[in-house]
Amino acid sequence: MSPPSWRSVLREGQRSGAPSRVSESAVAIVGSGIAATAVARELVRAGYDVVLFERGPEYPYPHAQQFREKIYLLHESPRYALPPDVKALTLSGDYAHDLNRETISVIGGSATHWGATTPRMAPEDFRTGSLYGYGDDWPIGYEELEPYYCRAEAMLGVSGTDADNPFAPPRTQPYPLPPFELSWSDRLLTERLSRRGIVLHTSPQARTRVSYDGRPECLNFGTCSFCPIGACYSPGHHLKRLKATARCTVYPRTVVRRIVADAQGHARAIVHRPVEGGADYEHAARAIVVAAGAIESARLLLLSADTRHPDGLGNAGEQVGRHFVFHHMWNGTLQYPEPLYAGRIGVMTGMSQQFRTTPERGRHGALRVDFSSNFLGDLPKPPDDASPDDVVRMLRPFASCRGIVLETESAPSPRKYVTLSGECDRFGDPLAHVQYEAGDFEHENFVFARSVAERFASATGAEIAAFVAEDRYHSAWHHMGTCRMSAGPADGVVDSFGQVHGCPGLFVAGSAVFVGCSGASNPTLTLVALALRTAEQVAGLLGRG
Amino acid sequence: MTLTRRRFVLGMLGLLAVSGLGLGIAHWQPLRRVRERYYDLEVDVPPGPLDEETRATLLAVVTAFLGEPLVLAHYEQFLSWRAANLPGQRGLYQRVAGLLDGASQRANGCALRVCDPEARERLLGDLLRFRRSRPRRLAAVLTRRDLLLLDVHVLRPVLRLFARTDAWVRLGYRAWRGTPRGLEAYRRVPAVLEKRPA
Repeated sequence: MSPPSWRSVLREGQRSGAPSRVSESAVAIVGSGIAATAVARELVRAGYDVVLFERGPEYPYPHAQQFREKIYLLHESPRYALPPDVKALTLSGDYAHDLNRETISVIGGSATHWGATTPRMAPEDFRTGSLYGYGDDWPIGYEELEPYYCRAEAMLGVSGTDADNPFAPPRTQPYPLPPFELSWSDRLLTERLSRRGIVLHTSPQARTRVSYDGRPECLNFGTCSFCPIGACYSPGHHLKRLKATARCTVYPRTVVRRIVADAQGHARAIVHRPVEGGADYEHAARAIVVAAGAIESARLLLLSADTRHPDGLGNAGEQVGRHFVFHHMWNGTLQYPEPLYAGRIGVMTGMSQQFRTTPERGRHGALRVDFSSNFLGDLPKPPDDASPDDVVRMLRPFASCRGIVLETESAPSPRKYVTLSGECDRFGDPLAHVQYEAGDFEHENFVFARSVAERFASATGAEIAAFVAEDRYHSAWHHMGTCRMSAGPADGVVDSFGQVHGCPGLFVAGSAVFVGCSGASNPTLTLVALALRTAEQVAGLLGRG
Repeated sequence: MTLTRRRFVLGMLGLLAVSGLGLGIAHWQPLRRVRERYYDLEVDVPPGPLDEETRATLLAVVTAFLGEPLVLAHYEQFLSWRAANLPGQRGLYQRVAGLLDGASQRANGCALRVCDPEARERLLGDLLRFRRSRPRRLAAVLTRRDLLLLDVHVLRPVLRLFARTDAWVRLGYRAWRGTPRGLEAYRRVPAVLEKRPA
């Protein structure tokens, strides 16, 4: 199945009216999330002026006010929401969740609310094509990326240890911060698992076990994807500092509509417009970095079609939007006969990477298992006629259960892609359309994950093990691919440094450049490491004039 | 009595028709709109700070409704913030506080906020009995709109806040999600289990 032709969707009128050129900088970055922040930080440090364009609103940092509103006032502030005719996409296939809610458009992007679990990919994850026969090998290997992993860990302030994890990939530098120890209930379950040969270990996390880089020590609020004090990394930490240098400007509520390339294919400017509407503006830059997430980055390259690039920028090989993958995550609940009172709520303290690479890898993909108590964030609303005693009764089972998270790979396929939609945003630009459908490989992953989960349940003495159905898989909020790295334009969109094939000066940063899934590891640390490498390349380009 | 086939079929058809009609009415858009409008708040009083008497009466209601132990301060913040920020809330709070104080005056000879806890609980128990019975709720629709609004706009949100906070302490947790609990306690045996006999 091929992506449908979207050219007809681009309206003729969309190109009408020449925007007035009003500004310029050395670097323009589309997006203000964690990849954009990593690139901006490196380039500002190297002495370049950087401007970031974010369609979402300001989002104060640290997120104390937002925390108070959400946790204590039960209030979803409309200040942080974008209108649906600005932030929307269309979806086909079998994905059962609301994909549009999986990205957060505010200054700082989705990493303003994240689990902050930051494992590295394993060396073999970069070579699944040649080693296991699924996906493709990356044009960059673990050894090449390892120094950037160290820098990414230093930037995010990762707490961790490999002392209890025999499956950790090799590293040249220790974690910048000591680990978060397992909770009492994790230790209890770890002992039971070890009797059956299963290793549960601590997980690396981008939150501060001790104070670090101006961020305070974690106080264990338990709302870990939403930290009021900045212990959990949020791009706001660095953006605030960058803005103070006067070399970095961040424009909120600004939609980038297209990238302008000259006759030689050099990216020269972006065209943007305020969310509220009005005229288009042009911002010229010597380097442009698109860091808007896997879906919106592909959309912007497609929207930037011109006479020289009729299929969109970087799309000579018709690769933009392809190789789109999610992690496939299934959550379960293990109910125990005794109370556990999971103490550290909202974060995965216990993790097992033992099932990443088994002898059967190839028939199925990598698997990671986490113990979590994150379900506490999704508590059912009490019934209308409930009494306080009813509420306590309703919560009682939570005291003796643990969440189990099964995170597996998926493989690129022609049934998974991003293209342009037939529906348009308020400016008349086509929205992104996502087609996503699980296949046989993902089914095998599910079967494998369930069998491992049953082993966990049995080894830990769970009385009840309940899992979501196979077709209710969740992306884990991890969207990867669409502008993947490759040696040339025939099989990808960017080179291993993130520069778009055939478009000097145009770069893509973020998980969009992944060749496939990041194994069973959360993608954020890897995308930050790659973004730091891209920033070096951009600085080199600017340095050469 | 023997049930003939004809009677059975007619009975089943009648049952189906009644259920269909009931479902239709429940989901009929105009009726749903009327129902939603019924719970809409008047915005005659602009958002703003709560006066002391209203605040005290509302907290007396929260204490009687939720029971103890309870950290009253965050319910106070919750209701004050809603009064100051959400349209219609302050006016509702003032009206129901007046209503409850009046009822308490008649029943106990004192305003609700200064009554003794038993009298408060007794009065609220009577007034809020409709919450747990469908026929009583239906009757309240016709006669006690302010109490229904109290339920929808005060008690239910307060209960949701309770479910995220104090309910966990009643369940046996040291503290709830959203309080700074430090990095030591979570590694120890929970206090509630330490107290149990071996």
